[in-house]
Amino acid sequence: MPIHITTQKLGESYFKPLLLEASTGSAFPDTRALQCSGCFSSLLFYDSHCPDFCIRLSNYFLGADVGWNETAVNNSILALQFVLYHSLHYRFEGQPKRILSEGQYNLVASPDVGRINWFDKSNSHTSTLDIHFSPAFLQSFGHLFPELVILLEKRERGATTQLGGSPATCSPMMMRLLKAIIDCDLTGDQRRCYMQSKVNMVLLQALEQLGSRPVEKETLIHLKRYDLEKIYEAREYLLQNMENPPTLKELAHKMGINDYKLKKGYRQVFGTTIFGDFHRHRMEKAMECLLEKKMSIADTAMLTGYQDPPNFIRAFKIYFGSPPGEVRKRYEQNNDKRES
Amino acid sequence: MNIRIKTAHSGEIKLSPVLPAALDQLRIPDSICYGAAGSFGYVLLQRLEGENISVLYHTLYFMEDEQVTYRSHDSSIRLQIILRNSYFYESRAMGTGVLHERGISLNYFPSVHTVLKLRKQEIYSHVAIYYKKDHLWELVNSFPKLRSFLGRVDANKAKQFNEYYTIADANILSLVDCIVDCPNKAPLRQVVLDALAKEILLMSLFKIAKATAGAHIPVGEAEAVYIYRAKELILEELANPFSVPSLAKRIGLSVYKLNNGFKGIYGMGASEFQLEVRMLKAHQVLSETDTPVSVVAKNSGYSSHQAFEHAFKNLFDYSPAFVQRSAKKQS
Repeated sequence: MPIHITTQKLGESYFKPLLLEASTGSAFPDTRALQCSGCFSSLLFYDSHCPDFCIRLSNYFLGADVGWNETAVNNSILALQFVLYHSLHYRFEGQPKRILSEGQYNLVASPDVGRINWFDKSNSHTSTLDIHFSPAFLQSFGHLFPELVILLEKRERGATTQLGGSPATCSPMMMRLLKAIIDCDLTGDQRRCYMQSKVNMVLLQALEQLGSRPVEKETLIHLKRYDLEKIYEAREYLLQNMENPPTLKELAHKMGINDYKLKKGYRQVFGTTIFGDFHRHRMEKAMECLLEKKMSIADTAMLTGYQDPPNFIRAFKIYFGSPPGEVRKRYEQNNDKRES
Repeated sequence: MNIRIKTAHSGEIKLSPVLPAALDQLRIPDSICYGAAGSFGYVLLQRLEGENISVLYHTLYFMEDEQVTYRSHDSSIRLQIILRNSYFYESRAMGTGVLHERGISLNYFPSVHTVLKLRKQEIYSHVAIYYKKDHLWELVNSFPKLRSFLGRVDANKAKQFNEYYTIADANILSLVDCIVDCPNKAPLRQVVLDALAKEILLMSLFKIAKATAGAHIPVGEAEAVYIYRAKELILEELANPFSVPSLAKRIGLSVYKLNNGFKGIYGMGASEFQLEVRMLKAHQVLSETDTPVSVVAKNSGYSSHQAFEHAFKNLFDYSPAFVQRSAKKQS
């Protein structure tokens, strides 16, 4: 049976007694006691029947800039950390801070959890799902993922590291698996089988994706849920208002988000710049108008937000390699050939 | 896997590992294919190998109504999931029966001798996953009925595990898709395929355990044809969803019969099925292209993208934007 504990507004809380109880019936590799400071609340559940891993679902409600350190029974950590809601800030001893945003994850390893400092800057609610593994279990995947072996070795030598150079983002498939893990209402053996199968699939996917993550180059900015929504809204707005595109500043103002955040955030989310993306869409639209709707070049220019047709023609030529008139002529010739 | 296929009209079909060019586009990457094509239609078997599990994907198409006999002398524990069309079968060990689209059957055969009745000019496809005894033994504590099934396996007696008609849900079908679309290369590929196949077995066992005697509505051959036609219509007109009465009218069935038919085959009513299809299609478009959400909403038959987002979230538990974002991040 899972154990649910909810506590609220504890000054300094030790979850020790409850966790020890959970650990007695099982062979958990990482049975841990949680220690924290500040206004804190947490919900935990442990799956006590799986020898290879344990799953922990946590909700943190924290005051601004409150950090916490954890101490564990055998003091080590080897876990896949998924952020389900909001974002998690953390810092390895002596290293710059890192962020996991909503929907992201990484595999964190350290022989001493005390060396990791988790904190929350934004005075909010954060929710994470952690899957803690036994080193032996992960080792059994070593032949498939050489990076994993290196990580485990580093951990043996006393280093605090993570598998992905930058965090990976959950695929919809993984998200469904995580939801299934959380919502599972089975008990006993069925629960064990269910969890084992799901965790196995999550782990395989995670290892595969994390192994190929490049090392973070630019520092990522923190995006709140509100910001994410606004960034999506901005994209929609731009595409809907193609004839009359706003400037970045105007767009940011309209959405109620600052322009730096919109610019940086957009790149972080979509991997392209906001107007680069827009430009691509407007060029594709132009092509469609020209060829399929058979509109004039001047009309197409207007519709895709160019007041001046020559400007449009220049942009089109740069993007597609030849000017719109020529592209159309070629298209029509091809069509005639096919018809005749 | 020694499978021999004989037809009533075209005689024995010789499957060749060198695929005829016509079948190339149906090919699953990294699979071992056996196929034949000719004036009779085509048959294509594709095998995907995991570490201890193998998956066989069957596709059949005949120009004329056919009686097809499958024969194999290999014993096997297999889970069959029908992906397309209704299989009316007559098996030497199991007698006669039918498996419609999405039907699941877990069975053991010491040897196979099954006659399938196939309609002309329709595509039939199903997937058979072959497990080892150990896979089932691992789950015996969770599903005690497996014990007697395994007893029959040890005695080398044919046995169908599921007592009642069982229908796969979208989750199981998406796992099958994952197997077919598995992008990994060896040796990871084998491990991933095994994990997926085990998950399918487990999910199917849960489904089988839930199936009860009275729950399933039998659907006849003629009725099934109507329902598949309704399905085609729904797929063609994703942007203009039907009301159930208008769909019934187009098809020429009563609302009651239409709904019953859908329930019998897919385990859900017509409108529920339509919603699922629309949403799955939207999900696919979102993850494969970067069409704006509002356009996807329109193509799925929603006039406002808020309503679409709401319905999407209801079904998948995450937003359309999330699907798009994660697809972008991965590439």
